[in-house]
This record gives sequence, structure tokens and C-alpha cells, in this order.
Amino acid sequence: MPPSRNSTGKPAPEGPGEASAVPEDLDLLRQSERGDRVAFEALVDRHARYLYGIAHALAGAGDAEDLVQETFLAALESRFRGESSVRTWLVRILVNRAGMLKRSGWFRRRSAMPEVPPAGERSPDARLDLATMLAALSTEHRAVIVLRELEQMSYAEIAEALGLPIGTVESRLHRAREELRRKFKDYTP
Amino acid sequence: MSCPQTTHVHRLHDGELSAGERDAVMSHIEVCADCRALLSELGSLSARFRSAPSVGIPNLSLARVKRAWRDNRERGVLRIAEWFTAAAAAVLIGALLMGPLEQSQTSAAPVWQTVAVTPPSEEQPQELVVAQWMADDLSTTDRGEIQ
Repeated sequence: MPPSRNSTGKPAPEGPGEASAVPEDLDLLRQSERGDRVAFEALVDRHARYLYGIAHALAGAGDAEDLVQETFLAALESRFRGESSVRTWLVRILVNRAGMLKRSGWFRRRSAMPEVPPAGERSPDARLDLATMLAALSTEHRAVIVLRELEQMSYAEIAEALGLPIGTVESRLHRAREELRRKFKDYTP
Repeated sequence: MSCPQTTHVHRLHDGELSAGERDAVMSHIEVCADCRALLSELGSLSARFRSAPSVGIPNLSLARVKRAWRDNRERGVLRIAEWFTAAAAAVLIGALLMGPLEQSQTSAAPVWQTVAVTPPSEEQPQELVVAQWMADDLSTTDRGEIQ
């Protein structure tokens, strides 16, 4: 069973007395929109690592930084409506941009996902790296798998992040897992 | 997997079931080999993802992301400056193009000047001419009497 998740996606205060001293994500976002560089950097410090992990899994190492950068800049130009946590909203922007850039063929060749070896060339004890497994999936399936398996997001959080009904998230997740199971059953975990 | 309970097995694996639902699915798994196998495979798959080395953003990338904000703002300021420059240039060009046109329009004499130098119309009513003669004559007579 996976460990319990932080449903809000917000970092927890470090101590009981520090809750009021830590600015909320929303405050940092609003200050950033007004031109506060320090607030923007605090927002980046808080979420860039998390977003980079997703960007890396979705787009590869070569484009992860650009994706994260574009996500933060797009966030400042967009309007946060408070329908989810700031982090989930940022993930949504990132996944949307990754999809847009993928469709436009913008992703660089050097960050292209590795090819999955044909079935005949597999050795039974071959070990797979994560990128190879993810490369086998479509963009839509990759997004749900990354958010669920790597980021431990709940179905509801994934639905918010991707702007999809929960039922669609579930069915994509099941199909993605089935695809991975079918393609990589020869490999040892 | 032909068992209709597979959806619940996925939910069980993902921790998306209530306590009651979880107990029901667990009871089913005890008697369903397919679902037991599925739960095991899902566990293996998740283990693969969990065992993958975590990816951290390099410090240099983090610094570049932070700098992007400043660069973007500077680009914004430059863009505004470019717009103002372009607007000023457009106004200047417009003024240069419109100047000669306005001059040609203003070089025409005003209406009052045209009327002032235009000779009286030949077709002035005869009554008016006669009235003017009479007025001139009377004024001459008046001046003579005074003298």
C-alpha cells in the first residue's frame, strides 16, 4: 500500500509555532504578480523541485528546466482562481505546456524518450530505467502514471491537475498500467 | 483479467477505498486468483517507480528559473519601450505625410477674401442699384447743406 499522502499538496509548517510565519503559496503568488522578486524566488524554492521531477518524467532531462521555467512564467500571466492548491494548479500548467510543446514538436531530440527494445532483443533479467518505461506510454497515460506513481497524488488531485473527470483518470491509469504490464512483463523489477 | 472487480483492486492498491469497501475487496481477493495476481503486479509496478532514483533539479537550473522572472520583466520593459518608440515613429511619419496635404488645403484663400475681391454680380437686382444711387445722392446733398 502506498504511504498516506498530503492531500493539500502544500508543504507543512516546520514547527507548531511557525505556521503563521510561513507565507501561504497564494500570498507568494500574488506578491510575485505585483513584481516582488523575493516572493517569486520563494515560490520557486518551494515548488521547483517537485515540478522538475514531473517535467523530467514527462519530457526528459533536456527540456525539464525549460518546462519548469515556462510553468512559473505562465503562472504569473495566468489567473489563479483558487479552485485547487497552488501546487496542483502549477502541475496543471506544467502538464498542459508539456502536452502543447509535445504536439508542436518542440521537444529537443536530445531529450527524446528512449526507445523500447523489441521483444526479441530483451533479456529476461533486463532491468528497465524509468524513462524507458514511460517512453512506452502515450502522453496522456504517462501524465497519470507519473502523477500517481511518482508524485503519489490521489485520483481527485490528478483529476484537478489534469482537468479531467475522476472516472477518466481512473480508466487512463488502469490502461496505462495494463500497457506497462503487457510490455514489460519480461523484465524484473 | 476477466474479473469485474479489477477496478476495485486498482482502487485498493491506490488507497482510494473506504474502510468498508476495503474489507469487501480484501474478502474477494482471498477467493479470486486473478485479482490476487493483479494486486501483486500492481505492487511490483509501484515498487519499480519507487525504486527509481529521485530526480532533483540542479542548482544551476534552479538559479536559471529564478533569473527567468527578472529576464522576463526586463523583456517586458523593453517591449513597452519598443512599443512607445514605434508609436512615436508612427506619429512622426504621420505628421510628415499629413503636413503637405494640410498645407495644400490651407493655401486656398478663405471665403471672405474671395468674396471681397469678387466684382459685384451683373445680375444684381435693379431696385438695389437704384436705392444705392438715391442714398449716395442724399448723403451728398446733406453734406452740401451743412457746408
